[in-house]
Amino acid sequence: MTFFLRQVFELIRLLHSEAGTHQIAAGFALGLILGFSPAFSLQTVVVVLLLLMFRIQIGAALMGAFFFGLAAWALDPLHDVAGRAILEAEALAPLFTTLYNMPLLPLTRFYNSVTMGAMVVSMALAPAVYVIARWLVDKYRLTVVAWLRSTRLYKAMRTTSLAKWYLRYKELYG
Amino acid sequence: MDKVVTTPPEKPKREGLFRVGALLPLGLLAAVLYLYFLLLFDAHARWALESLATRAVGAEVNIGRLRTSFWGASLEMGDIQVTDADEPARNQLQIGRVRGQLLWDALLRGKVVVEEASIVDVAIDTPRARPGRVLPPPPPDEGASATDALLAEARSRYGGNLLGDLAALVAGGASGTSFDDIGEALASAQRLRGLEAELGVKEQAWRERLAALPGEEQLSGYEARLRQLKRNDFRNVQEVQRGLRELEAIEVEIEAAARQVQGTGNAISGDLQGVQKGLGEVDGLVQQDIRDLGARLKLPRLDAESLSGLLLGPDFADRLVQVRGYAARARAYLPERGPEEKPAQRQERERGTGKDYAFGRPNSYPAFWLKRAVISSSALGAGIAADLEGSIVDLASDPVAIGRPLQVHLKGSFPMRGVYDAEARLVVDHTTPVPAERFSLALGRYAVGARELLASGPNRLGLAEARGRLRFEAQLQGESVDVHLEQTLSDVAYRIEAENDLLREALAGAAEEVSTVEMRARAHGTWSQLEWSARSNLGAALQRSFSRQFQRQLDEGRARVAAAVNERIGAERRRLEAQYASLERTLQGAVAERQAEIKRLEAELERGKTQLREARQALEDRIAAEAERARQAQERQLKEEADKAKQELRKRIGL
Repeated sequence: MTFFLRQVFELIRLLHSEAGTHQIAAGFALGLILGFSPAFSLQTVVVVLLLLMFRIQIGAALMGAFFFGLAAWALDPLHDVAGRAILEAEALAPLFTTLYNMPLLPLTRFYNSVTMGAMVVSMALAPAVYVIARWLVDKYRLTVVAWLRSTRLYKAMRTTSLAKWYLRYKELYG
Repeated sequence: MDKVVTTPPEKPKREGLFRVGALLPLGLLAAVLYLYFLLLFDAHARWALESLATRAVGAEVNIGRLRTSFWGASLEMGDIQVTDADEPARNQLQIGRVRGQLLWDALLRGKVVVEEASIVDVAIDTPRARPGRVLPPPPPDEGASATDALLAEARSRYGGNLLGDLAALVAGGASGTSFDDIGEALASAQRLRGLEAELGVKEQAWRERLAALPGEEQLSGYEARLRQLKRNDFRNVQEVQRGLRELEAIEVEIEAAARQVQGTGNAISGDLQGVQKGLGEVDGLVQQDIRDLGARLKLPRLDAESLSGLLLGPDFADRLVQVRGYAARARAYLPERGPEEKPAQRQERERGTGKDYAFGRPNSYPAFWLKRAVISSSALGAGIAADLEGSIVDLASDPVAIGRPLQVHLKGSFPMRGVYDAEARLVVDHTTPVPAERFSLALGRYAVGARELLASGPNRLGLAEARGRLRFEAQLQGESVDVHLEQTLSDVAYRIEAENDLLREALAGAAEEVSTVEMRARAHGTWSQLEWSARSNLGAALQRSFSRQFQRQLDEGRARVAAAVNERIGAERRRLEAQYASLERTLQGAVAERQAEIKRLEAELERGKTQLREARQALEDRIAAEAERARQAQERQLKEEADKAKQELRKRIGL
């Protein structure tokens, strides 16, 4: 739990810093895939491994997974329709038959209409989410963070001993 | 001057692509997973399997222990207890140990395939430590209603209170029964009343139709017009043609009248036949009324088949209901191939969220497949109730994918239950377009304890003990069913209780005659329409014995019933038959009269036509002859004139 909370705080810290735009955007994109995938499936494992192995913002991925998961739940009927259309396409039947009988791939549960629909939608939207997330992070830094820093409250807080202590701690231990 | 020392701004630490710091959480996650599988997974899997099996069986299923091996891909379960839904304090089945080896190849594809399993230490009907939970029956569906109908049919066929009725008959209970109030209840009387009302309505309609038929005045008019028609002494052909046209106009009108009479005649004949058929049905209803009143008088049917049915029917019906239940379950859990489905085609099934598609192909793994399980159990083991060996082959969630039927074979004895030389075979073939199930059970020898064959109040015919042999076969294919039961009970010790001596003597007489009871029952057809039959030498012996003792009373009772029915409906029936006969005469006579009149007119019409045609022909012949004569005269005149001209010319030129 501490690990996950730390990741969320790290996200807030990164948002208020000058770096990590790509990491945050990539985190949201992977969060989309995570949120649209069944909890126990091969693709979830793969995404989690990617998050752990590469320097992608896990907090962004977790927040993305939570909010996109809610959206996915609401959109399940549409995913079902899309999945049925794809799985019932005669032209794709040989491909699906091959995949269905291959090792490991059935563990993605691609043969389920909702899973297939959600998977296709999330894969299609992931690049767009990445681009939009980057733009939003930049916008956030330019407007919200800049405005926050210009407020008297922020300036007053910066002068407190607690803030100084925190900044010193951060300087020393990162 | 102080030297100002400035520290250069710290260069941000460049971070690599990989997150080295995540190795620890990753390792931690792996450790947690490992610990979960080591400590908790078996318990969770056991709980999940228990829940699934309980829902499938409809009664609590317990798994004493479950052990899985991840690296060995094996599963072992012990002390499996299946609660008997009818007797929750006992187990229907108890299995000591089940061990199976799973295929990694299939597991990687998300399927469970057990290459070889062993099932050992099987027992049936064992006591439970505490009563098992029995799930409420599922909401009624088509299968349940068909089962209810099956039970209702069996009850109506094999129910009854034979011994009580016979005892009452002997005691003279039937003689005091009054039939004063039967008037409204008789089906035959109700039908007669219906027919009377129907006849009244129809009579009105028939009379209206008869009134609409061409009357005497109309037909006389045709006749007068025919008579007035000129038939000879025609001056010219035009006059004949005018006559023929008038004749044709009369013919059209007579034909229309003839069609109307014919249509009315046909309709009335059809209606009369309907009424006659209704009167014929009354005979059948009278017989039904006699049977119903016989039941009210409690006159039992003493034919051998009815008696055999009473002996064997209830037990047989229970077995049929069991067969139906198991077959329905097999068809629910082992999906059959659709009528138009090809072997490698996709199959689908609905799920709560979305739909799962199976893209199986021949010889591919189904979601679950137990290739072979060997069953062995020894009665010598402590607490083991079965001496059993057998096998389960090709138990699969998708029989079409593997293309092989499920086969179960069991052979052995249950010494603690007194059952020896038992053999059961089950083949569930859902690989063909029409699903088929075959089940056979043979018990070479089994002990029969106290059992009642016929019981009504204090009157009982039962077995104190006997030795049994049984053969049961059930074949189901699509909707068709064929079930046989053959049972032989030898060394029979009967138990007879009766409230009067006559009944006791009759039962004892039949029992003395039959020392080995043979019973055969068969039901075939479809679940909704089964043909039942039952035969037993004990039934035949009871028939003979009862007939000897009770025939006189039965004949008297039946005669009373027949007399009561005839008395109630006889007069009404005779009146209706007389009314029908009178109407038939009147109506058909009226129609026949019109038809005869029309026939006469048609004959007259035909005669007139012939005469006019002859007259026309004669006139035409005369005209032709006169024309020929004129032509010849003209020819002669021309020839004379030509000769004369020739003579004149010769004279002029001096020849």
